[in-house]
Amino acid sequence: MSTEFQAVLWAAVTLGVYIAASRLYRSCRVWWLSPLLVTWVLCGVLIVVFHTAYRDYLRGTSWLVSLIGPTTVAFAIPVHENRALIRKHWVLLLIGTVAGSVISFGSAWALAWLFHLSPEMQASLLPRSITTPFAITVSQNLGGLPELTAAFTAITGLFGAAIGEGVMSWLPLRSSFARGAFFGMGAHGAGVAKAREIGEEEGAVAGLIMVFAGLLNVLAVVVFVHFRG
Amino acid sequence: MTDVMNLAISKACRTARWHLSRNWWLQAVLFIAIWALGEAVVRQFSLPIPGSVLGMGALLAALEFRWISVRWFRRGARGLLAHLLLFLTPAMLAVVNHRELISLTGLKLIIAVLIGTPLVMIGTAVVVEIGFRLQPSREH
Repeated sequence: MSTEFQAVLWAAVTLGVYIAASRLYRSCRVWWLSPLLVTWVLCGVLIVVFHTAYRDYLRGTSWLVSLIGPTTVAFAIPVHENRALIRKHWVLLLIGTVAGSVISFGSAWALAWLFHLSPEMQASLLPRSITTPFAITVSQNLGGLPELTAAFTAITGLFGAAIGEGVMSWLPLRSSFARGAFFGMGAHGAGVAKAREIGEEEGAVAGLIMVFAGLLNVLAVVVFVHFRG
Repeated sequence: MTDVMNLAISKACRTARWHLSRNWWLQAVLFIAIWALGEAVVRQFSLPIPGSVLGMGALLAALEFRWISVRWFRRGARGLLAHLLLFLTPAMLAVVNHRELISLTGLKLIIAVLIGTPLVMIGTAVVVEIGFRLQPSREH
């Protein structure tokens, strides 16, 4: 089989599985049927079963990966559309973003230390709570493996969205901002979708916290790497 | 003759704007262009931030100062963001190259993610809730 044909085939398989998984999820909304998980696991199994080298798989699908950059630019639109909310409540949003980032880095660092993980794994684990496009950049700058960070980030989002409502029912949260920050910081993209189901303001806050945390972490790591030399 | 040309140009502009405010594919191309421009500027001046972040900042500024209309971007943004999962999947599949993770290290990493996630959720929500209750005027 020629490599060109193989590349086109893998692109078609990935798109086909994704479309089928999205259809399935629309009629059956349980977290373990989320298109992310189904596409990831099913394509992974196919790659292993057919003994395909990852670089051959990527030859057909790297154009999908290169759309992550333009999609990051698109985060500007939800931010712009919520500018009234930002102007009015920027203090709370800032508190949530900073506190969430500190807690997520602190907890990952402590757990990595507790489990004696290698510096490379630690750097891959640190940015798991921010949305994947930003997390990949942070991981690269810290000397981690971006592809592992993408995987940890996906598991964080899936797990956070799955346990979110259960955990939240134990917390006395009166403010929609706290509920939004809970999902936006804890489970990024998947969490924002959950927060939208709870309420409009929760969804908006979750989306904003997610983007702000991503930006804050990317910029903080740039400064950190710059001063470390 | 100039009148005719002016008319033709303004009609073409109107048509372009009409399509741009309705067609999410065209809007997605616009996002790709902004990203590519951001990457080019970052490379040219060797800036430390990613081109996508620069592009996002520039787009936010342009929208804030009303140089461009948000209608040219709304549908494209919704379309791209809805399929972010698809764009991430090939990158995440690189784990097939990391069979060493089917081990104690892999288990530790998963456990770290599973413990860390509720910690981040609870910690962030509690801090924001305290901040909310400390605010002098509560409107919500």
